[in-house]
Amino acid sequence: MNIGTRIFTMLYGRRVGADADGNVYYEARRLRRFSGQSRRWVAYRGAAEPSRIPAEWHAWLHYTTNAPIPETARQPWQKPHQMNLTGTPASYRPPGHDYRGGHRAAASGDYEAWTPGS
Amino acid sequence: MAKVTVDGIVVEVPNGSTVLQACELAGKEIPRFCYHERLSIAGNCRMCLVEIEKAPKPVASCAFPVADNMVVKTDTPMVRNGRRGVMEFLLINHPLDCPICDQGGECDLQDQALGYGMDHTRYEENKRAVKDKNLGPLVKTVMTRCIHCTRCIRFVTEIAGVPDLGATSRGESLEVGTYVEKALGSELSGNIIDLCPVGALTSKPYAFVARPWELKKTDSVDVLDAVGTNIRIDSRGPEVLRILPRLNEEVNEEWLADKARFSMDGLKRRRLDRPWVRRDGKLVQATWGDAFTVIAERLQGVAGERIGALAGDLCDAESMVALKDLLTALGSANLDCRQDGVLLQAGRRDFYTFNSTIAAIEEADALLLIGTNPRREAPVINARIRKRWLASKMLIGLIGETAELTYDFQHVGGDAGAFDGLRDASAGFGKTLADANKPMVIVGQPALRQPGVLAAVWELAGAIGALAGEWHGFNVLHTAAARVGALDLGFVPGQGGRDLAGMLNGGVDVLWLLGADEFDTARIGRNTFVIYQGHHGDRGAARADVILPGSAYTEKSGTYVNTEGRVQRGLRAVYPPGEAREDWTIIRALSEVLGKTLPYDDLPGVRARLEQVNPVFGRTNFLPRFGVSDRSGPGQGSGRASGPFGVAIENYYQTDPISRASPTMAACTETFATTPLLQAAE
Repeated sequence: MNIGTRIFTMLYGRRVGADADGNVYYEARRLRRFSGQSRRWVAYRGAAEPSRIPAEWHAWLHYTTNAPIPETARQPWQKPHQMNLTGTPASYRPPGHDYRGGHRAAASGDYEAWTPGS
Repeated sequence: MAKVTVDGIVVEVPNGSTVLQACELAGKEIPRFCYHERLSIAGNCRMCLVEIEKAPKPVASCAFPVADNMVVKTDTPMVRNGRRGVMEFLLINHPLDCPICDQGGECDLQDQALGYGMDHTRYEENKRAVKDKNLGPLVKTVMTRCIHCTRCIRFVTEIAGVPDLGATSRGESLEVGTYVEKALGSELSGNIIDLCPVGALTSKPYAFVARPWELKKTDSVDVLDAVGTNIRIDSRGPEVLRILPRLNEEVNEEWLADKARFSMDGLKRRRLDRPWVRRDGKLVQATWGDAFTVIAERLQGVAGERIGALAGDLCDAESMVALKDLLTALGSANLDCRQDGVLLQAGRRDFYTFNSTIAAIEEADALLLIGTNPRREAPVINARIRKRWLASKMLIGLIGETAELTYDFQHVGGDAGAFDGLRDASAGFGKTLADANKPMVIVGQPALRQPGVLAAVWELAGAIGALAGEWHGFNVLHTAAARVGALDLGFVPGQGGRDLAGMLNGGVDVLWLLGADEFDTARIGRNTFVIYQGHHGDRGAARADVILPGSAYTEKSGTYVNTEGRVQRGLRAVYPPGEAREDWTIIRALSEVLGKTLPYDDLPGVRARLEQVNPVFGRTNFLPRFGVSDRSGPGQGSGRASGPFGVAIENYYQTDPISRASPTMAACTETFATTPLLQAAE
């Protein structure tokens, strides 16, 4: 959070909650003049990375729900939220990618040779 | 004859023809989805609209009979508008998934939409969605794409002869399916993939594999049964991706049996791609030079009569003639091609071929099947018999194991004892045969394993009038594609030579197996040196002392003779894998190492030699019809026929090294092993 946002948050913001990742969510204490809604924003823990926001808070942040969906509403089959890893060292690389050794699997035109005993 | 004017062209067509046929004759192409030459007329797609003078409305030409002096217009604004409207209706519910549809590029709807499609849709409602049906391991369904042409239903009911497919509901909610979920129990089921004008029925093993324009198309001949079905091999790079039938009215019309169509994934498994040599009891990899040296050393000092050769069921004639010439040069007459032990002799050709020809089944008026189940041994011939049976209610009798044959037949007896009863021309099926003008007898391989049956059947055929100067009604139905070619080449024991039984159990010291896998290899003598030349690691390769990798039928230009005696040539579609070579070149190369160089070194040379051995090889693709010139029968031989004939093919889907290596055929075996079809025949 840069200094401007920090001062803005101190003057107008009201803390609503924080997610498991440590991002803190705020909304304005005063309603906006035309929309009648209060402004909502997030203070990231660490670098600003929007894909780190979990689904529960994403819905609230985009005015889909009035209140954040509580953690207790998670279903057993829901996977933990994962940020978009593209561009990070942990990003997906297809088999045969140079960073995964560069060895491609055999092409489909290949055949299976017989060996004794098979 | 009716005189019809089509777009100003006057054509004469037989009475009762349809307007569409008249238009075809005039060279006008009429778009159609439901109409098919070999199926009954349904007239439900309405795409073939034409304008007929004095008719108030456009007329569906496929279902409208011609009349004399009819004036037909196929390209007027009314016709074009009508077809455009039909196309719009068809596209209301057809999904726009061409980019992921396997039919893309060879789709009738796609092609015709180019000519008659609107540039945009006027339809805003949701498209109809239909649940996909499971038709077994061969045919993939995407039923939302179905345009209800009912070609598949008509094919399965009329030609394949199984009551499996049908339509439920009507109008927009009509669905094509099997009523109760089941796999299509027909050996010809793959043909509905070709018939389907859209992508509703596609090949399951070929799903999402290739686009038609990527494929190299090669004309060839199928070798997985003895029909000699004409096929087109579609390949990409080193891989055969699919096999489709080619049109040949005299052999397969346009059908192809499932084993031939779907077993090509077996061509990629268990392949012999390098020579192997057995050293200290274990097979080790070797080079061609090593393998030839080992063979040459082993053959040193072995007398000619201690060497033998067996030809398998999938061999081309070129390799068999080369092997026969090599064995003759080595001084051996121990040759055999009859792995299943049938008592057929080389020599007079009408004792071992399907003399009537396949097309002549459509002229026969009584048929006697002896020890054969054509449905499994030759599904395409079975379809031809059914076609004749439907057209004329030809009476069919069966001697041997009863089975579900897709037509009605009278079970005359179970063994050779039933022949005598048929000579009685006053009652029973004997009367049917005696009354027939063109009676036909088809004898299968299991019957011919019993001594004396060939002579008895020939005599019976003579007694019922099947051996006439104009009509040859004596037919042998083979199951092995190479068998007739081998008999034509005389690949049977020569003067003083040993047959299969004589060569086993130590009858010879060196045994050459040319793709021979269909006999019990455990019966080969313990000290016999076995040379296996072939393309798949099957029973023969497991027993071999030297393995010479050859090529499968898609990988060589070969000559094959089908059960009729029709000589056909297939072209090479792909190259053999690894170190493998074309089979006759292997034998030619080895002959040089052995110092018995064969006198030909290119393909035309071998083919000239083929023709020299038997002039029939000079006449490819064409087979003249002939009657009986010599009515004397084959020799009786010793021994007596006794007991039931048995069956030639236990499991239709796995009969040879290629289909045994094929995962698709394994899946079919699993699916159909429990169906009543197989149970009934066992």
